[in-house]
Amino acid sequence: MSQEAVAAWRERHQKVRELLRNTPAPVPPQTHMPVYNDVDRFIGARLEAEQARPTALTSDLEFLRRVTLDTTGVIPTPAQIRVFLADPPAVRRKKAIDRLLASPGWADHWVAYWQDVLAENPGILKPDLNNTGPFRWWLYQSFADNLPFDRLVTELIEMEGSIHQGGPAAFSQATLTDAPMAAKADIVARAFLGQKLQCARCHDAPFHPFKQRDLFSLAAMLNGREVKLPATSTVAMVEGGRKPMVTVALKPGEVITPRWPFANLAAHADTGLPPASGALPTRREVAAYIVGPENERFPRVIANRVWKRYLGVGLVEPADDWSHARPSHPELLEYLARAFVTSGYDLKHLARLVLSSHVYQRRPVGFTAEQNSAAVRLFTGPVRRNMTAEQLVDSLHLAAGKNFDSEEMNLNPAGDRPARQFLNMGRPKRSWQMTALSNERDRPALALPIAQSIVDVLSAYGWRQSRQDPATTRDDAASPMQTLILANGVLGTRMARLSDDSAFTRLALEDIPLQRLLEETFLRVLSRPPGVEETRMLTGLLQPYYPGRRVKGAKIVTTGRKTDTRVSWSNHLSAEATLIRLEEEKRLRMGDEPTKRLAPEFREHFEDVLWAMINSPEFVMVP
Amino acid sequence: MNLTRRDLLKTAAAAAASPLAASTAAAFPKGSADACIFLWLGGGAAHIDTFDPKRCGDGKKMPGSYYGAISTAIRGEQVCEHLKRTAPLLDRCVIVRSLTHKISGEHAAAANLVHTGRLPSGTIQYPSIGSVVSHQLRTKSDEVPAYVVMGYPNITRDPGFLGARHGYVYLTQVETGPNGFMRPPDVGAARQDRRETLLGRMQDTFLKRNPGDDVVKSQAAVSRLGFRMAGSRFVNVFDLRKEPKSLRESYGGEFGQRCLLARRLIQAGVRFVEVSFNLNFLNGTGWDTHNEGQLKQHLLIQDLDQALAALLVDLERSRLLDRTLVVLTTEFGRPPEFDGGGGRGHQSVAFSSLLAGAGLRTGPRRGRNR
Repeated sequence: MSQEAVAAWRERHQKVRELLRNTPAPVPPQTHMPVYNDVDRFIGARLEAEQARPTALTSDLEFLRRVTLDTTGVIPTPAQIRVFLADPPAVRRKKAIDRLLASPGWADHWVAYWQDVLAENPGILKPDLNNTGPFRWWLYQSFADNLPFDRLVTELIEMEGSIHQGGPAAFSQATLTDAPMAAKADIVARAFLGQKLQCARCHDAPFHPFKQRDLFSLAAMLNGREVKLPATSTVAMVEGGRKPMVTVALKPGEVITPRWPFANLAAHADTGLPPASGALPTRREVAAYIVGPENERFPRVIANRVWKRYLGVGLVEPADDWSHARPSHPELLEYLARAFVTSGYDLKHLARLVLSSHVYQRRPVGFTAEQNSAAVRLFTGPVRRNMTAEQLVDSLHLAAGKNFDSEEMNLNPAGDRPARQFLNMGRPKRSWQMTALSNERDRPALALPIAQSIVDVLSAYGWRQSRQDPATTRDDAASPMQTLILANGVLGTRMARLSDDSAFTRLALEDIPLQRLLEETFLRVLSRPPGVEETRMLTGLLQPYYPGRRVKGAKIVTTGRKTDTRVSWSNHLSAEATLIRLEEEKRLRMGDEPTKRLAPEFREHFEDVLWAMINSPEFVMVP
Repeated sequence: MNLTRRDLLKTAAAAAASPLAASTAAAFPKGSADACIFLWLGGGAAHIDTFDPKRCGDGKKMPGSYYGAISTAIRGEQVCEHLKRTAPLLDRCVIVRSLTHKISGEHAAAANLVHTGRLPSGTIQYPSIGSVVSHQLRTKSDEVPAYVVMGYPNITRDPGFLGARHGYVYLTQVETGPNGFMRPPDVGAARQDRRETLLGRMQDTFLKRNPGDDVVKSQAAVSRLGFRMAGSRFVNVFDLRKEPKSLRESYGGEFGQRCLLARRLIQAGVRFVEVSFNLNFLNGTGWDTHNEGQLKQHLLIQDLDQALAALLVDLERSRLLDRTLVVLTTEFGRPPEFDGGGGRGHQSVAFSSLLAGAGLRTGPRRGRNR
């Protein structure tokens, strides 16, 4: 992006700021409840009015684990914990927030979220199941640069750049879909305006104020010209049949011209948007309607998304469907939206406001009540939640100090086929870099065993290998399969295994008393020192083997796990390729090769301790 | 299952509430099955080389079947000569020869269509047939999953909008057992006990530190259910050595063993078992018989024949056939013409499936393909 463009965006933000100054801002009310910043005044006043009591403040270490997960997507390292504890108590939380917001993990954690919301769905093998191209790296770069959010939205909607190499043009793709821009219209409207057009895909929406024409008019804008209603996007009516509940106003084959359908949200496109470089004018217009200052819905929807991500439940629910929304705290919502706009659409500013509040830093509320229930939405504290799939998998690797060691996300290592058929998505280092493994052909030689073991855990915890439709709230309720896959699956086995690349192996080899080993282990895994009872129990278990644990002169076993690159698309149906993969699967099942530097008895007992820790509810639940 | 008057009324009421139902549904027939074994011939099995034989071609210029045909238990019906064990059992089956759809280019898209009945729309992800069955029939017990896949996990088998609880448990090889249910190879019973004791203690400490937190409580309860499933009788179902050796052998190779396991799973209360036939190395292409894949296609057919016949006989003998719908299907068929290498391309305009059991009115074929 050129210097002029940056200046132009800055100028626009300045204008919007001036506009806002002329409208009345919500006044934070007085309250006797604990207040860290103005956010707490809005929440506190309601608590008082409802005679509800806030939960207690989290302990410092609970706070650090939560805020580190929420900003960087992983648990804190022992080094981070030590830095945190070295700061004076009065400022350590604030300083931690500052450090974390500046960390690169910020981008990792947000990419995973927007992959879901924007239905990023690349396929590595002849993509034809409503696949997009990969736009994850563009998302990553945008969050790493903390791109102003209105600019990010504009770039996305412009859909310029490369489809296969990671640019926002990848968003435009929807393979095998006969109305791709209709799908995109629903995604964009839901993501940034809380307008759920899903039902209007095939008929006028029965429970939302949207006609099918609205969806297709927006689709036409994104298409740059009129669109024709495909025969599949309708409900067949049978002559003499029962009168259906839905109305179908459009006929198959009907031509729909570009038109902005949400005049109630914004009657005018923002004319102050910096000039685009060659994007379709009607796409530009969509962006201008969405991010323009006249559109009050956009900053509110984003503020609510940030709130929901950190507090567990939105001020508005469902966060992607505002048609019948009643905000629990309308003034707080407006306050956050204004702060967001005034800051120049800075997501970090919004995040800092929420993370610095007392309400965010309180102990979680463990209701199993409905998300929308009045009690939950008073925000006596954040809603208790589990780590997301990505947080879990990334945190496990961080705790064990192990790499993903995954195969490349690529089914044609020979590289002799075009990118539109075979994408090489690279070797993943974080969970958001994983893709659907695309073995619809069900062929053993197309399996990627290590990647599969990671995908198994991710999938059980709510990650979607196929994101054919956008999702704001995941289907990730606790299930026995989650327990089973972590306890018995390959990934869990590898993480608890004391191999020579494990951080726990290195710890156990150090010349430290058992007590220290336990303390360090607890810090690494649970971000806290062990309790008295836990120390007693684990000392009793490990002490007999501890003094003799080190095997003198034993050699380091390098994992040396390499994917056999002899298998590629051209030969994957051969017997050899099949055998190679089956053999890899079998070897992997044994887990990483154990270290020889620790005596087997000690090693196994210590592994069992690690296994119990990562499988305990405490590990997966956000404090 | 006998339909009662109340069932009929309920069905009719549900149909009336559905926006898509155009005609009355009260007359909709119901079968007697409460479980399904779904045999998946991924790659696109050639109907004219299996269940829909035609005049023989020459493997080059002249189109037609690649093998001769043999008579079956149904008068006038023939199947390919390599289905000689299944042929005498065909009176338990219905051959459907009139399947058709429009996706012949891509395997994944066609497989998805056959599993979900829909094209992707971009606004919703439709569930696989296994997830639909799980959703409609539910599990029979807490400790037995409703839906099991023998094959690789993929999108066509996913639960879509029905949600993760209607997903599947999977295994890629009979000998390894279901993913997540079997302890790692180096963890014996004693070690597992030690692990679970430690875990129990840690869990108790955590519960004590979070009194009154219902989410923590339910998380702990779900975790305990997981361990109960892994330690339950369900896991023993996967041990085929519990079956007589002669029976195991009658089923044949890996695909046959999968079919035997499918029967055991149905018996244990699983509702839907998808069994994938993916032994591509037998002919170098699996059912996707382009070019030289055609030459040894008969090995696949013979393998299928042995397993299918054994399964039908075994289900019947175990009195499971009437309550089990057996489906044999594929993503598309293949044309009568041969390609340059003597194999066959794809064809979706007409292909075949086979249904069996479930108290179906079996015998005469459904549909005809000229």
